[in-house]
Amino acid sequence: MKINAFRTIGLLLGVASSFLMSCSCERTSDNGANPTVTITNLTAGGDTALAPGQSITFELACSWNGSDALTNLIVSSNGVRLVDEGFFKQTYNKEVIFTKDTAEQNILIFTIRDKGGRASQVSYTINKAGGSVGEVQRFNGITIGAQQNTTYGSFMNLESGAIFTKDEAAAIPDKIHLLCYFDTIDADAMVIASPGSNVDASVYGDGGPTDWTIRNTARFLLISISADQFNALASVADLVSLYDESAGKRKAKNLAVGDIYSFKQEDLGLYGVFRVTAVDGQPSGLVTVDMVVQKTGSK
Amino acid sequence: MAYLKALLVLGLAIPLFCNGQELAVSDSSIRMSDFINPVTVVSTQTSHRADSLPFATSTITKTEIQDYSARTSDELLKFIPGAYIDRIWGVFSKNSGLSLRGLDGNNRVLITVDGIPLNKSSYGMVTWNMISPDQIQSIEVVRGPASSIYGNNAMTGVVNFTTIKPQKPLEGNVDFGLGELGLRQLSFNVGSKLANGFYWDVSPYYRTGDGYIIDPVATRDSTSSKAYIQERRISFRTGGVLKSGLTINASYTYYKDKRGSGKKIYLPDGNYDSYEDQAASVTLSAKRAVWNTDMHIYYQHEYYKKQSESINKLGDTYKLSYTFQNSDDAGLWFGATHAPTKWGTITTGAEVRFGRIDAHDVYRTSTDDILRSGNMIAIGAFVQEEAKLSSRVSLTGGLRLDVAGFFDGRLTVKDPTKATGFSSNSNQYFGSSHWQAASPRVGIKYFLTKVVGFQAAVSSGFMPAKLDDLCSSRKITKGFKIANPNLKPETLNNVEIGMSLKPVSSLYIDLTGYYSYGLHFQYFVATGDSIDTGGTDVKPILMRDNVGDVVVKGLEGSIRWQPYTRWMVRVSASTSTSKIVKFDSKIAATNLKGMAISEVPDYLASAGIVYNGKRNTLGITYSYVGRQWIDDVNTQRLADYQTVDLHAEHSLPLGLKLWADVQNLFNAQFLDKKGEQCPGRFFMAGIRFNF
Repeated sequence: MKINAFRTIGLLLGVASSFLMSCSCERTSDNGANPTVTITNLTAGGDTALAPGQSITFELACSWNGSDALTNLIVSSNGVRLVDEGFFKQTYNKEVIFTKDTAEQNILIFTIRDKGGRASQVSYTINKAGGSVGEVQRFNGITIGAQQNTTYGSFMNLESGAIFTKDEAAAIPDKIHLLCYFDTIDADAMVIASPGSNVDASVYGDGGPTDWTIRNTARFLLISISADQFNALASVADLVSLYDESAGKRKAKNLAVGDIYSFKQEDLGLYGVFRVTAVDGQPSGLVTVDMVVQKTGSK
Repeated sequence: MAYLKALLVLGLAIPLFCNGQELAVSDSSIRMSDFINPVTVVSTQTSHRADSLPFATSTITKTEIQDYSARTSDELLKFIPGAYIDRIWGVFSKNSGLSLRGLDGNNRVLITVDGIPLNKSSYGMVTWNMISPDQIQSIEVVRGPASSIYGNNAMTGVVNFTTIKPQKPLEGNVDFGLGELGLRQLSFNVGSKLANGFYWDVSPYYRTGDGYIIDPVATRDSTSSKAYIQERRISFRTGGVLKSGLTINASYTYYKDKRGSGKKIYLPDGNYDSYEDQAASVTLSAKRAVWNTDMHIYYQHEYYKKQSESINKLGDTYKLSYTFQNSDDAGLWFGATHAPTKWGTITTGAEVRFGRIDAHDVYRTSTDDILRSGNMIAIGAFVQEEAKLSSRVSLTGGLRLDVAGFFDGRLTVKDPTKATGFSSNSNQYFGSSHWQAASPRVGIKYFLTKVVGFQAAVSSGFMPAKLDDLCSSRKITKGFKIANPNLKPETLNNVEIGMSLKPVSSLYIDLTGYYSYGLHFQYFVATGDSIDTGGTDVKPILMRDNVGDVVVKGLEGSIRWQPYTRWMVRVSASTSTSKIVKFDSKIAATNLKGMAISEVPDYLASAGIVYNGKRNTLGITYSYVGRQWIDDVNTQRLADYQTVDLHAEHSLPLGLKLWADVQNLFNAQFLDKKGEQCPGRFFMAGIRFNF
């Protein structure tokens, strides 16, 4: 091969190498700007005073920076997360209902994060107001059936204490706050949970919560109070004081007679406590509870 | 479209292959001795004909490498008795695994290129595509423990790829190929041997493929997507004679890939793994009086990125996370061999090896931020004596001592949520730990006649803990893995006997049986606890632990036959059985005593025929992979499968060559341990220009 061939091959190789080294497997775009979050119905950085059990609504509007999608919204109160959602959107609007607890002051921080790891946040301060606000209502002897129970429905509305069958509940998913089933997948036995708690689709089958477009969420906390203390619960402040935001679970599992759970219905911001009085642990079984729950419309 | 292009190329190729006239090409006949009884170095660091060694060895020759269907360098290892290549997705596989002698995992086999280790201390994997199949001169394999020379990782064997160096003032090739599933590849190789004895070569390479959906039809959902690939590599090599008796070889390889994992939700590239590897090495070889010495200095850096997105069954909880991981491996290996004396041949040497991992898991749909890091250093020294006791008997013995330490292991967790399962912020410092290993090996070879030889060997090998197991707590496919900073190396003590038979010069048969006893066996075990990571189901907590002792027994055999000058036939078969005979893990929830080791086939077989004509070549490969357990309690078993591959080439004038490749000719359908399917029959064709 002559020297020209060397040059040709060298040139070819140079071009090829440049191509190989320069072509990127990934394209990243970064305009450097942070995503934005605003409170549209209140003044960010402002404050107000609420009594325990009293609620306030925040209308949040979040927007991306034009290149990286929004991925995470966090709402925290005094460092405890009330909302922590993952998603992939360019804009995101969220209504957050905060119900005042017993702390002297709650500093709420609203944080939006994006795919690039950038974040923005706004805050709002809520001080504790004096006096008592709101009422509680008591439902005694409420029986909720497990998924195969043909006598008692498996779905409950907390505002009225009414129980619904699956077909009835599917027509009013926004009114369903609690449900009951017997778990055989994770050995959780008898469970009270909420439609938003990732109940396996096989539990209720077609038409169950996995098919609903609205799934309300509640969180539960096993507490240690006596039956007498439970019976003495009479104020919203009592209910609020028994719940810990940082410890709530999405399911009350392995229910047994005598268990007492405090809970918070997150969409309405309602606090409550229930005590298990009877359990029949099987798919066609049931749970009977006494329940004290904050009344809606009385905050 | 690519499929049509490939068919067009094949359509052009077949008539030429069948009817073309003989053209002037270089003689490509095969030296019989190179195939039947090749020279091998890897077993003892000294040159020997394969049949003279007391240790089980195998060699795959350059001709076979060129003429069998192999799109990646590791695929050729299926011809090694007892070797299992876990590459179910073919070229689209993201982590190919090599198992030898009934124990799974790349980390148990030392992989080297011209003596330079490729195993990473971080998590034991080997980036096989750092090796260009075009540059391989031969593949030498030691089956069975060889830690008496090589130390770390050489527990079930050693695989060494030797590479081709330029021999002409200018030589090289350009290769372009198209395949099904949108596969396109382009490679160059140009090099020169200069008048002053030095050489250089440069080899860029590019491959991309659209891929296929790895989820079987029955389990596909809206998140199933194609497992695509994009990869590129460039290597530079140079070397030559510095002065009389002193040669130098240096190389640098850069490799980057991006491989889809078969799931996509919102991001256009979905879940993927991306490896960016750089490896540099310098080898100095000196011949001084009665000593031959070699010194390797090497450094390997890997930047690994993983993008992972998932959504729960209800579609309302989306997770997006990234892993950014840097790992480094560096070392110095020195070996010296004294010329044979009446006392035999002495080889001695020493090695220092350093490894590091520095990883960052960051979540974008939650605030979890996890940092994990750790370092390892190992120092070893060895000596080996090869003595020829008589014209029929040779004895080889060696011993290597290693000390190693794990230090500065850290695990930092910031702002955790249920996405990762950590309950609170933490900053764990694992302190340091160290261990020692003594690895002896003794083997004897006895020739009963010139036709029949027997060998017996006792050897020991070890595998250190991987840095990822020592200091990483993170979610994995099976559950949630907890770091185990107390993990110790495992040791394999091995006894083997074998025979070689060379009834005629064109036929070689070898048979080896082995019994291995493993101590402190490392195994993934479930602790019995579980963790809520926010999904529908809780995740089991797992940990790599030294669970006890194992026994592995096996039989390996191979036949090499060259019936005619241009024909080569190779048959290999093996079987192995394993059992956990002592189980004393304090962590595991289930006692696994009596269970077989998972992810290793019970039977393996392969056969290959090569016709290497002046203008046309043909390689046919048959491969059988037996059943294998895929869980530690031996309740789930993968079915066996078999494949047939073809590779054909036809030479044209002006150095052009057409080639075609069919993998899995009969479209066998089989699944991997995760239930993901193989691509089925895969066709590829291309054209090559040699100059």
